[in-house]
Amino acid sequence: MTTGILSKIISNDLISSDIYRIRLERTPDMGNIEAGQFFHIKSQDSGAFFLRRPISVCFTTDNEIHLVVRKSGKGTKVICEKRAGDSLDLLGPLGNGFRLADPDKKILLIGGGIGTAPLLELARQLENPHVKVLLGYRKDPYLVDEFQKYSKEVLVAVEEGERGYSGYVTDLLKQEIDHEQPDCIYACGPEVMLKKVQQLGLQYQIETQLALEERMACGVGACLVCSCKVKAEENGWHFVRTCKEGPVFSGSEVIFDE
Amino acid sequence: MNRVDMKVDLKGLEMKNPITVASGTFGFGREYEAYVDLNEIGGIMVKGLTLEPREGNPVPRVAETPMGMLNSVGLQNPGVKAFIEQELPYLSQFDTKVIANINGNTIEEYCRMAEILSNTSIHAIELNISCPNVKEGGVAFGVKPEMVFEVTRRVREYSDKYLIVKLSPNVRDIKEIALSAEEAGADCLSMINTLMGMAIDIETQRPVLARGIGGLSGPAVKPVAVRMVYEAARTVKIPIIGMGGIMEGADAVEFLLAGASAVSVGTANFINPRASMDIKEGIESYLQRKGYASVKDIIGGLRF
Repeated sequence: MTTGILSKIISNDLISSDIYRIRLERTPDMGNIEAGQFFHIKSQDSGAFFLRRPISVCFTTDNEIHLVVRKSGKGTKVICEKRAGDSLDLLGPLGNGFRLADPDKKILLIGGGIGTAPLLELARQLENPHVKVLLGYRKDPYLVDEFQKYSKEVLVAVEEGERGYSGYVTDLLKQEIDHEQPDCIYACGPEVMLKKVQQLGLQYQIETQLALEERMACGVGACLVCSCKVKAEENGWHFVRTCKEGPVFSGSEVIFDE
Repeated sequence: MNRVDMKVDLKGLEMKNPITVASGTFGFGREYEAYVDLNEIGGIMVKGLTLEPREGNPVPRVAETPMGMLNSVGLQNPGVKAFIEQELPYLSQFDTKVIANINGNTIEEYCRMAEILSNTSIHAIELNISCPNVKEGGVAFGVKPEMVFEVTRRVREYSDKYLIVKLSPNVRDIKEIALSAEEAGADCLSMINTLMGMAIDIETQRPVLARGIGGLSGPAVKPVAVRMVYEAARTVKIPIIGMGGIMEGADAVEFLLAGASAVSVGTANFINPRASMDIKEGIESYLQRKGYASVKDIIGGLRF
């Protein structure tokens, strides 16, 4: 019988505006961790806000898990303000991660904003020298140097900034597909980006795997608040659980609302 | 130290302990099997069932509010037939009471579901006349005493199963609602369902929930729930399963003192998957500390 795992924070660093990288002690009861899986996190003193927050795994070593968290509301604020030596209460790893493609495949990773985080662990686990990575940020890029360690090439798009391509990361995706069509695209980021990835995947018949985000309560498939629309024979669609059947879905099955 | 007797008798439904898990917060049990030995739970109220499968409401379906959460799931469920075929065999392996929560758009649908479930191994039916998140049925049956009486009486005719009526707090007078359910033949009341609430994102100036309004649960509603259990327990003779914001043993004890014969753990499961077990142990240690031999000794034991 497992329950929340208390994990000690090794360090917590601000790596960009409102973006924190939290290094935690990895414990044996966490077991195997797939890229794309998430931990459901509660701080010990979250005050009036008590639900857990789902945060995907950004990077792992034998002894550590790294989470990159965007301080975006009252719940993540409490988590981001934790310091080395404090503990977080984790459930997980939860959900289904990315299915790893064979090492001979041409692979493209595309991430937007905080959605870049789970792709770093994916890049590490793929162990594929042909991986190309496209990263999109509104302003200040982060994690870029580390992506370079696990890939052939990293291209950065920035909406308002100096570094890299000026514009949307999906523009780079289109250029890459035109240049050399990949066998598989892995994506995580805002819905507008995922929609575009899905559309290009269908248009060019490229397999896509999309990591989705949804508001969650239980994280284990019981409460049914994190429903995601997928294609189904009967009625054309039905709801599945982002926490349990996802958060990684095939681009061929997800239905995004207009 | 001697262990205290945790058995409770809800006059027709005996449970090994007063802990149940609330409908909609525990799936069909299997979602929590990695965290809790289901044999240790007194009873499991399964996810709310409808006659036909339902996909439920659009997302976002959840919003966190101070010490509470709003949900508007809208009874997403596989339907009563799929429950019987795919979920009940699993749940029946465990030594716990299986309580089927049923929801209808019409009285006829409630009756039909009660009839179908009567021929199964479930231990009890929980008649949900208090779901705030559906357009038809749901809470519409739970706010007027004469409607509560009518739907309870009709369902009673279709099933000999132990019948629990789940009450809405969104009513003028909980006492007259409780009395109507009792007079119509309910064996037990469970209360409270969620309080209707709303949260607004001031940046977008839109409701946080896609459907606008949802049901509030969690510690924020506990004082309201305790008060309503207290009022109902002084009004009816049938037992009450109390719920609303129970996060720890002490919360459960409040409900028992107010007159509930058992309790239900809901939102707490989301934060702590083992909440039901921690709450059970919390009640036990309270009873030991106070020198009670049985949990029955504190039911309705409130003093003034």
